[in-house]
Amino acid sequence: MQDEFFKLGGHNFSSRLIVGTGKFNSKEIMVKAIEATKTQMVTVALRRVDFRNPKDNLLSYIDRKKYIILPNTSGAQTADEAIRIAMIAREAGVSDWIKIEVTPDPRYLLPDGEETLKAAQVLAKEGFKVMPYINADPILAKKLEDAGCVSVMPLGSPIGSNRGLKTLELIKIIIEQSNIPVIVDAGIGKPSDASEAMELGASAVLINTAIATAEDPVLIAEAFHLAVLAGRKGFLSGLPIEKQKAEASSPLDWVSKL
Amino acid sequence: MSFYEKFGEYDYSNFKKYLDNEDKDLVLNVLKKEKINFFDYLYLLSNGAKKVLPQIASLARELTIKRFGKVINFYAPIYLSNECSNSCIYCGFNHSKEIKRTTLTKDEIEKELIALKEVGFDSVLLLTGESPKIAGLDYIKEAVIMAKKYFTYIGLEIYPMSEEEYRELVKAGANGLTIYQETYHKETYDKVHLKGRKKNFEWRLDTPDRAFLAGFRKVGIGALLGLYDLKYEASIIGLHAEYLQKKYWRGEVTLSFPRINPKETGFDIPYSVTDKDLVQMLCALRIFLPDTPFLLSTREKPEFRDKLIELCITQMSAGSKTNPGGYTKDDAKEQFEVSDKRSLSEMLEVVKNKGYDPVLKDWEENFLGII
Repeated sequence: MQDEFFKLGGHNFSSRLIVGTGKFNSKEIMVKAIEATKTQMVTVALRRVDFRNPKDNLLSYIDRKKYIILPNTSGAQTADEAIRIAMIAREAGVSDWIKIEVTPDPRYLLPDGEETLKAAQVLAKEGFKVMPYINADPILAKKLEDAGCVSVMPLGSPIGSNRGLKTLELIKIIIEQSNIPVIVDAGIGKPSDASEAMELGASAVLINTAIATAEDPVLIAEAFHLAVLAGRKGFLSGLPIEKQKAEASSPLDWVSKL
Repeated sequence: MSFYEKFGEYDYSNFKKYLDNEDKDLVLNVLKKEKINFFDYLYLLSNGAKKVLPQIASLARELTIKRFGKVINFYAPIYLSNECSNSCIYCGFNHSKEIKRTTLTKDEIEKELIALKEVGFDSVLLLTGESPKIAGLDYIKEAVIMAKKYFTYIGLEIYPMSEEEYRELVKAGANGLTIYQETYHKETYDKVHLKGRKKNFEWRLDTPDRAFLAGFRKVGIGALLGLYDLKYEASIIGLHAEYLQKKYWRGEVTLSFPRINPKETGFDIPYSVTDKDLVQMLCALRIFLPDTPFLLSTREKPEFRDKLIELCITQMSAGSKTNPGGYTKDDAKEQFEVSDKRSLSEMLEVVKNKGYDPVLKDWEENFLGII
């Protein structure tokens, strides 16, 4: 089966891997790793962008001809903060894409569903292409779809934890029910986790910590690229079904005699 | 329940069994756990732990990189005033010392802010002594409003105030507050704080509670290391941080580890802290509190600071002046002698050469106080 483009916010993407820019040990390595992922979309924390100081501007390292910038509201604790940050970024010409991250707890950085929904409703109305980072909550995912988000981004496990798809069962439901792309964000620690998410039918995955803090970020970036491709092809192939308990059972012997 | 009340419930003698442990194997078992509890943490502070310090350090480093990446954030202090009505026997601003007292005028503050901004900083820490009459709430508020024009992140290291007063500073734009208990040992506290409002141990101990209630997003705590037994101080710091994190879950606790510099006041250090002691405490705290930012000031020597970059600290000051007006003129008395005099640009190179990414802006001006 030939893969179609991944359609997101009116764009066609051939890459199903989105990459984050935090925690790299140098901008140079970050740039090389991003290249190796063959991604077309890069997310940047607006808190790290200094519009006043070009020398410390994370954005200046990212080739905007090659990549769509997906600004994120990392650090926001309320809907209001996320909304303001998004508006300022758009006014500054960064992007009309926005990844909403509302994480009132600074330790596990888990998303606040209630505040995320509020921010998404406002920003979608304002014409943003909204991509909310959420807990793997199927009901919230539907509400966000209704609010006009271009995708939902459920977490696999807590951000930065590299623990893989601990929320698997709920992610399956989100994928099954969603009419917008489901992008698994947070917790993907190994290429095999990315493959697993793609095999489940996720539209894409977002990866940051696993690449940025690896011994060799460039090599693992390439591995993630391949893993996403492999997982996607697996999904498209209609994966062979695992053997279920399907032996004929004696109380139903009569069925074969019909 | 405030921390002071909780503090009264601890029985330190129950901690001793763990702190006095000599067995390294018990410590190695702790290192195998996915998440450690407070008593495990005490094992990491024990003598037994000193025998396996390299293993402890290796885990501390690993956890730091996993949570923060190889990234160091930079900030710088501005001393607004060295007026102080307290008499802390270890401090350069001690009321009874005959030093030149300076409180920056509005104009001078502006000049300091501009000078520091030009160096490249985006995160600033404003400091005063304790002199509510000369450098009180209105004065500090004015300084915060001025600083906000130039800096994204404004931290304060000022004297303990009421929740209402702090709330005014949060509204003015301050994001963080640092308040060291100096020592968590009451008898020692009474002995080294001879007069002034600072004599009130309880008021100071509950300051971080008031700060979070007032809406500060980050509150820094710590002890002045050298005043009392390090194991005791480290135990209580761990408890204090854990208490604050659980209670004020939207806030971020940060830790600093100021060691008394013997040269500064001729103060005879009762419990001097070696590099090894300090490293052990840092690593134990990192393993106990893997998400907590650790700050390192210029009190420490350059060679030691450079090593700690690769261990577990996450934020550093650089090019600091600890006297009011120090960035534009240089005649007032410093609070402590800066051991690491290297400039920000030198420090950026040091950090890069170690394979770490130096970060100047990591805050957003639209982040408000905690509601």
